[in-house]
Amino acid sequence: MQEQKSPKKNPVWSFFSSVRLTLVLLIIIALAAVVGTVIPQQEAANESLQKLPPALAGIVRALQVTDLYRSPWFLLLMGLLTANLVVCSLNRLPVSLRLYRRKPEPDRAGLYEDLPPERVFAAQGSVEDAAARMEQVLKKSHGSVERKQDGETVWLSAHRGAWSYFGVYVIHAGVLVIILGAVIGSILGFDGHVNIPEGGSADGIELRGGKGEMKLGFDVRCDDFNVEFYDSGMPKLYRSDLSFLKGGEIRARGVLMVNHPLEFEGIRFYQSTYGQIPGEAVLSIEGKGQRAVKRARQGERFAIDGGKAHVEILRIEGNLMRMGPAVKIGITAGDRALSFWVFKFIDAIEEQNPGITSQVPQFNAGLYKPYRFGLEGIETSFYTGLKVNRDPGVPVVGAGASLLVAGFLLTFFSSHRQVFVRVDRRHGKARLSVAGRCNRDAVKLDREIGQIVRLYRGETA
Amino acid sequence: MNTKMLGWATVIYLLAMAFYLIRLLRDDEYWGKLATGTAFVGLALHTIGIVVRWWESYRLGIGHAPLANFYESMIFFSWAIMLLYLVTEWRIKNRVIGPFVTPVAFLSMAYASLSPDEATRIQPLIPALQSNWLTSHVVTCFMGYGAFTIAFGLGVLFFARRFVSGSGNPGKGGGHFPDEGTIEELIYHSTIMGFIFLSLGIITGSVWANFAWGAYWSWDPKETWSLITWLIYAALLHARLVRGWRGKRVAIMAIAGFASVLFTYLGVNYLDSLHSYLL
Repeated sequence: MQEQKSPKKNPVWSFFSSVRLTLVLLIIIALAAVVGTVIPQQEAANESLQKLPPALAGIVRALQVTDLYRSPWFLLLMGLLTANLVVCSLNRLPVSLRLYRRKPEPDRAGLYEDLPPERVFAAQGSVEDAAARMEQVLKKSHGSVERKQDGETVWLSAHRGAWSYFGVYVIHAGVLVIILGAVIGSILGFDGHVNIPEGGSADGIELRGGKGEMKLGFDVRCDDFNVEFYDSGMPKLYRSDLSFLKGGEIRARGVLMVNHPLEFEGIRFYQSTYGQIPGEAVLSIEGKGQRAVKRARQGERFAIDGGKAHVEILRIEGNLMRMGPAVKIGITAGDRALSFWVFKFIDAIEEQNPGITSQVPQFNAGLYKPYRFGLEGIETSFYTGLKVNRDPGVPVVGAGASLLVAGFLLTFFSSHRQVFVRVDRRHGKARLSVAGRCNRDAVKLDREIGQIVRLYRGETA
Repeated sequence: MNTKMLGWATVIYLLAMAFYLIRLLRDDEYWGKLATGTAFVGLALHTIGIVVRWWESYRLGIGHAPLANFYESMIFFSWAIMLLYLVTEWRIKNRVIGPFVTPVAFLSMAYASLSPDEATRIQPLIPALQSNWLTSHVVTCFMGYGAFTIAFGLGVLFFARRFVSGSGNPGKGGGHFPDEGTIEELIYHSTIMGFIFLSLGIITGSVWANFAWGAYWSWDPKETWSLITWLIYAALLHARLVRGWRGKRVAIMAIAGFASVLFTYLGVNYLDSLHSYLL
């Protein structure tokens, strides 16, 4: 298209209609993408930036290379490529349309010169008979046939695959539709993460890139989480059993596994990570000649002393100040309120620090008399880490990818192949000459012409 | 069992490579026929080796296509190269690319055979790989890599021919080498094949990622590098089709593109990637 004269002399138009620009942009985008794979991106970048001298970190921040693929200058490059793609395609389209609409010229000079001998042959009957028969053959193989007559000579032409001129536009349209889908996704979609402890539920997610929280409009409950391992220690299965609730009512349940996302109200959930968190604390409560065992999570409350006092689990620590598992509880009884830590290994702690419980009231598990608290243990439980998103651009991107593949097939596996036949009189007999022309794939054209010749001769034989 | 067969295939490829080289140096089609026959036997054994490995994985109760770790990927890479090479040889009726392509297939096999025992054992699939998209994604990607390897071999051949003929004169010299126009045409065809396969590889990967990671595109280093490779070959195709680049420039781009392919395949393992289970 570089030689082609654009009807629009607009300088902006001619800038964007240059394929040299395309090449430059493709290479610059490739180089920029390389930079993005070498420099840590997003969350990982902050860590690395802290290790750099402040001045250098400032420069790195100013260049916006730590979130390169979302930086304005990278998006600008993509925008330029898009404009270039659109303008180049529009510029080129009339040429292809002309090729597509071009009238076949079966009587063009020189077309039937230097034909191999098997493509020029005599036939029985008149020129008219031979032409009619050939027309039938061509109709059978190519569908429609054009006919032209001048005096006693008849020209026939048929063609196939004229659509192949448009393959390149289908490819470009595919790329544009993919870009459109990405834009739709980034504007209308969202993307976040939520950790839900086993048995717990969540009604919101944390958006990616520190964009705050978002309410889902429903609750997601993790009824169960399972992780299985092979004998070698490699993970075999991550599985979360989820329930989706609205107004406390279960609306849907499902099993979430890696590669098997779940969808509820247009929002998709993916099994992303998992981890362990301190779960229920198992407390023993002794006093008034009784011993009770209570299980409670952080934030849960229960009554003791016949309802005169309430215990709340304020904190659960797997290993507090290297003294082992500990739970901080708060007790309210009437207008009296106090709080203290309950250690699992209180006996050993007292042995090493004699008198600690009397010196530090916070560590005295017998502060609410006459009751005495003990910590039997903390049951660790799993949490499941879910990736949560909605991307209305996905079907658009999918359509773009399909166009891309269709365009490849049209461009690289189809060709416009024209067949021309001249029927004239030579030495008193009808003579047929078969020629062809194609934009690519000459081998296929040769095969087709051979087929037509065989078909014609087979029928007349 | 399967590793033994694959080991033999490696040795046979070394022989084929040697025969192709002898054919080139002595310009004797006897060695050429021997080379093709040897390569064919190697590919047959290689294919059986892969099928047996597949079958053995089912016998172990962890059945999956042998495309799940770095070792298996190198075996398949080599297989794709040899298959595409022999098809190309048969289509162009010329064995001159052989000495430039078979070494890559041999090296990939040889490097795979150096893997620790643990890697060569058939492993069950981790959750992320338990997907029907595994096979189509890996097959399309590596067929693409294979086609680009052929284009690379042709690029090297292009310069080897110039070196042998002693000048940049495209018309004369080069003896039994095909002429520059033919080599360049073949580079173009291999690149188209690679480009289509790579596109399919990226598309199948995106579909899979949309199920597994919840995003069809995450700018993961391997994704990004596959895009870089795609952009380089897109530039090659546009430069040739629209800007009329021919000969040397196309050969250089085919070689540069292959460097990007290698980095997409191997180099990315040194970057922090979601694809790191291929290490």
